[in-house]
Amino acid sequence: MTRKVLLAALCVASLAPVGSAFAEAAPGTAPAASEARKVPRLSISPSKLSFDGPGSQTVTIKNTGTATLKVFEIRLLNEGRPDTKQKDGTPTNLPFKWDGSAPMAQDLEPGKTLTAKVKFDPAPSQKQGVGAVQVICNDANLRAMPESTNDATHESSAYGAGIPLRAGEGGMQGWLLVLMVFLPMAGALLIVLIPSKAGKNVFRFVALGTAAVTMGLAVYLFMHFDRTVGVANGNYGLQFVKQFVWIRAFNVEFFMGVDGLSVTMVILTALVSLIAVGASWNIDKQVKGYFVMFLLLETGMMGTFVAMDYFMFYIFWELMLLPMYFLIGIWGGPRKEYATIKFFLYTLAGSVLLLLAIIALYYTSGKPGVLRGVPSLALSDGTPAAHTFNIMKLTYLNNFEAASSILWGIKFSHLIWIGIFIGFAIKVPMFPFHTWLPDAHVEAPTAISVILAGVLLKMGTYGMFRMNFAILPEATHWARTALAVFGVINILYGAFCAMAQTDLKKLVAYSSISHMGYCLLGMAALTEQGMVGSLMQMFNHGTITSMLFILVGVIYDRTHTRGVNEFGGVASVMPRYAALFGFAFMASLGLPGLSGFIAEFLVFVGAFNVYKLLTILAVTGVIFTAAYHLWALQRIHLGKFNPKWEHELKNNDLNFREMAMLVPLAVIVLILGFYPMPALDMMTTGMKDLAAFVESAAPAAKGAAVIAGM
Amino acid sequence: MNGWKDSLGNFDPNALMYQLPFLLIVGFGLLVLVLEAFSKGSSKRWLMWVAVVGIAAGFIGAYLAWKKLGVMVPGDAQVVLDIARGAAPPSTDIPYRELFDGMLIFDRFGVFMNIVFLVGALLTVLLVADYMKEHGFEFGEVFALILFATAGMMLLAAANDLITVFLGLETMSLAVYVLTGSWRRSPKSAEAAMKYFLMGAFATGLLLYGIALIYGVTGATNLHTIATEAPKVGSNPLFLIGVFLVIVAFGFKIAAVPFHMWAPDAYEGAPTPVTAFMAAGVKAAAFAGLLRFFGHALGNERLVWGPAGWGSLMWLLAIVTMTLGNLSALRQDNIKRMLAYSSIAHAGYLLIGVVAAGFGAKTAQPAVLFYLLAYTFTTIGAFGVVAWLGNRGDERLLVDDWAGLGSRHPAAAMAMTIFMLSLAGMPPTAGFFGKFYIFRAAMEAHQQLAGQTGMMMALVVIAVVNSLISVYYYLRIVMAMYFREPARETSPLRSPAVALALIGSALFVLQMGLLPSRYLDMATQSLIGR
Amino acid sequence: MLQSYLPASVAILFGLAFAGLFLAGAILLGPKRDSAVKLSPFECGSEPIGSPRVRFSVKFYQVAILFLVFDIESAFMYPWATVFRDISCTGAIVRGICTAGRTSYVGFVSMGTFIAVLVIALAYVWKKKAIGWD
Repeated sequence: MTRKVLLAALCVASLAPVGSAFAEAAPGTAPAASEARKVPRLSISPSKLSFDGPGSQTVTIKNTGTATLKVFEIRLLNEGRPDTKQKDGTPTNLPFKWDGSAPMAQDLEPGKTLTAKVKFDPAPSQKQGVGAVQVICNDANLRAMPESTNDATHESSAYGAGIPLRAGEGGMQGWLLVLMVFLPMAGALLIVLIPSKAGKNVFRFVALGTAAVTMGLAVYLFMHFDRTVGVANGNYGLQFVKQFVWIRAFNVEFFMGVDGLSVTMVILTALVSLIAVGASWNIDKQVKGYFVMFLLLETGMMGTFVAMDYFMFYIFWELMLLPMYFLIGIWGGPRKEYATIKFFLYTLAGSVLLLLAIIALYYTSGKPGVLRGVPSLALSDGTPAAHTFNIMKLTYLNNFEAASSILWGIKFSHLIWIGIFIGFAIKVPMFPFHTWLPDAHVEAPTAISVILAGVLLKMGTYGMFRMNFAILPEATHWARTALAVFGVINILYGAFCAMAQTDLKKLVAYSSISHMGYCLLGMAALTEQGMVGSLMQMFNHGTITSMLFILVGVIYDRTHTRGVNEFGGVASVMPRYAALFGFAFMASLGLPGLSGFIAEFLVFVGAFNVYKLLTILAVTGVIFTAAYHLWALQRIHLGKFNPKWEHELKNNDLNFREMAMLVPLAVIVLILGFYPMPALDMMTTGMKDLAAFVESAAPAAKGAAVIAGM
Repeated sequence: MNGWKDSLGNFDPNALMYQLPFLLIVGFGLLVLVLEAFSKGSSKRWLMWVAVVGIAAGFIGAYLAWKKLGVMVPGDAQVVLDIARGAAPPSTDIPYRELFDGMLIFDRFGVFMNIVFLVGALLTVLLVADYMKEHGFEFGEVFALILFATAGMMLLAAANDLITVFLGLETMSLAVYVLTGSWRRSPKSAEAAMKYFLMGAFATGLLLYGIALIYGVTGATNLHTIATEAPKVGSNPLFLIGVFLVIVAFGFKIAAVPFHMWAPDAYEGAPTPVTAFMAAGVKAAAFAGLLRFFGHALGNERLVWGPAGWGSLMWLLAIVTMTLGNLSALRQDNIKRMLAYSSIAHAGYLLIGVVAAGFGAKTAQPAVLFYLLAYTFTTIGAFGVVAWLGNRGDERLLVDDWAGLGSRHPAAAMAMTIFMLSLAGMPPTAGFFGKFYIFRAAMEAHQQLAGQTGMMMALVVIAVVNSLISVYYYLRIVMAMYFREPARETSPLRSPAVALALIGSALFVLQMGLLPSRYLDMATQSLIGR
Repeated sequence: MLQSYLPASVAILFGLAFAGLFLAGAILLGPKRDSAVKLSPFECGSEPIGSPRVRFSVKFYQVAILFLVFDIESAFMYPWATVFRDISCTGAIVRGICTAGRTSYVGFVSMGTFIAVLVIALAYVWKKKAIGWD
């Protein structure tokens, strides 16, 4: 044992110096050769400005070279985007302003300095901001990246450098999301370190504690999320931002933040994960490994929803896949091998399409913004970058339609759109790609079904909002009808399939497919109502379907069967179970007064103006939905009690643990059914801007700048 | 006497610094040979440590050569940032040093490749000692042969002339032929060595013929002279045949389809650590040669993408190689054969990088380098676990043999899982960044072609579909290890050296997946000189 | 340049043509009367016994290969010998005497290294008893 530890320590120790010895951190000291010719050289200090709240700081621009430095322009950049609306470089709608007059373009003699004050003056609603100062000058050594040099607007003598402006970095807020993402991973690490003989309950409680603290942070997030902030307030409407450069060689940033869309999903993830820990309590095989995987899964999910860098998003997306694979594969049912490999291959097929789209987007980004040879994009530390993975910059600073060419007879941006869309549609799952879902659900343990239906499916629709809609709005308009049609197919097909199921879990699985169809229809409407409805449906489906799967698990634990036809009259022996079962089913079929109704209503209202026929078709889906729900309810709970289950079910109603999982969810469903405003407010903050932004790319309204100041 | 330096004439002793890794490895190889012959006692296991010291010295030599070659142009973004912080501008010239009348060139590309070879050699040496002992064919020359093969690889990576390309390739190959047949009592090992040798000799013949034709047309064997001469004679059929023959010869060495027939048998029959060495080191060396000759010297637009350019041929080769490699791997129940086909498929992915480099994608060279480093750790690790699992002449090669390993040997199963995920290209492992980098380079090439053709795009799409297919068979092993109940009792090798190699490579695979920055930076700085 | 090879190829062609002519003539014109005795292998009058293939001891090959290897290595010394004088002097050489500059040992050391490597190989072969007959 000691030898093993020693070996491991040796290996770890060996890792540190090896790479660093070779990797050159900086180009090193000045070579003697450069003294021969006279060159201007720019230095900006301090190299990093950091604001904790409102205030101002001085920027010094100095010529440290031997020739005159021509300063053409000094710009304040919001996230690296030059705001050229005003001649003096004073941007509009930025939280950063020149304190006093803007520094003028001038010639700096060697050794001379130029100072200017930058004021951080955030709007009361805004907590954080990220920006940069950029100097355009003739320091020839400030080479722009080679890609930008072939641009027509390039002037050989102009180069730029930027330094970051940051705010709120020192506070707790920036770290909140980081904490939420990596706390579960820390919990997993803790479980790994606890020896196996500590007892199963230790692992369970560590996992429960971790999930509970994360949930607590989610509640904090819910309370402190500012519902008045929009994209116009700067920072792309993101809050709780944490951003730094992660992999410089790839222009990859570590970038976390939430807007109304993300924050809904983050809260849902924390909630469902906590509930799922409860549902995992009766896992008895390899408990340690189970919870390690479980917590890693939570990290993956959480990270996917808060990552605002496309590359990082992808990493988390994949990170979530692996634990899921093991959770179904090791703790699953009899046909787990088939189900896992199917799940894995389907999802991976989607994610490799995403990967392709990521790289394609990356290389398409940045070109139109090139100004005077300086890439308009910048990493968060001010490094000019020709291309970017930053989702926000891909969204607001780029115009892929302008740069798109025709490939294989189709517009390149449309091709990318299709790639991303299929990647996410598999996850949703949308009609032709849905077959992995019922298999995975049937084999997965209860808790994993809860996570799968409650959170993982939403990653698909979340991704569509975040990537398809935001980054490629023009292509979204191009494909919107197809999206709506697929949504309606999902609704009807899912409902019909659910009707034919005799396995209760499969029934719920198909009902998920049906319900996700509402999300697709709602987003296809491209109206604010429809999109908010879609997001609301995502959240509600997460809570309601979690209840359904827990309820299925309850009866499966007791009888080891899920056959709908094998029961009858369960209500007479398990009244509490029957009550919650009925409640959840009613919520699922969209009974007014419960949260499911609100979302479906919003979706229909939003979509009706756009797609009359499709919406009418979708509304008929509600009838079928009601049919299979009520049918299942009736066959299980009403009628004569099947005496076969006398021993298993009688006097074996829901215990405390099961109640503790179900009741909070039921309360949320009920509250949101009557008073959805807290949630709707939150969702609208993100969706309003997104809907407007997508609208601005509509073929009719081309050129209308909807996002002020962006 | 006016100092000893006078007596050197125009010989610059500093030149030795650049070839330090090579000289050290050769020196230690000879030392091992002598020690083996003149030492008493039957166990030669201690020679492993001599070899390890030699390789460590090689690493130090590589470090010194790296430093001596000076600062490279750092990654694109780094330049502007560093200057903004007040640092001096870097030189845009890529530092290099040509020696022996331009026969050899020393640049950071070569040094990076040396590091890859040294890593491969180190892991192989650690794996092979106890493996040999366990299976009863212990003899000490193996270590010397590994070092000689490494020296050959280094020569190939530094080759600046078709003659030295040939010399390096042969030095490497001859040693590896012997290594392949080193399990003398195993008929499979003998068969493998025979096949490998015959095919290798055939490839050598083709290579020489190709070199002769290229020389005949361009009047040069020096790569730079060829680079300047080739565009003038680009459409000369003899030149095209010569280039074609060189591609075929290298195709044999990297086991590209349709020149791969020998590979599964040779890989299966060779002692497992040697298989690992073949899959990682030999392949890496051949790719170093490919990049130098095709990616760089013949990286002229007209030669690459002209009507008879090598790019279209290599493009086809890449597609066929990865597709057939993966499809064949799907059907294998023998893990060694499966990994053999997987290594064929990986050659296909790497060829994408070579094609992209030919098109002038700036990220292609570093992408291939990073991929090779990641692949070396991963594939030797995977073969290492296979080697670790067998005992007493009984190798546990069937997928069914691996059932339940997850509960019986959790550490080994976890290491194997990491390697499999890395081979499949899943984050957070080194393989993911390798694949991403290669795909990115191909996309950059697509961008550079600027809509002229969607062929690079098609290449990436096919590669992506392939990596999807590959996941199935990699996960088969993971599934067997974790999802199935144990079938047979296993008593794997008990060897700290093997454990060290496996833990080390698993950690590096993870580290390159989680914090890849420094390796990526290193790769971006390792460009081919001149 | 290639024209200088023309006479040689003409000679070769003539040779081949004549050889082919006579062979063909013999086959086409000559009488063919085969019998069992005529078709049996002829071995200097004695009856053929056993396979004509004889297994030689591997030692023959071993010695032959080692001879070849060391023989070819020694061939490398010829080109070295032709330039040895030039690389042994840092200055100009007048009538075979190094007038200016000093004696350089580069040539000597490089060949010394080469031979040292050969000696190591020889020592190894010797120690492994690959040279001795038993």
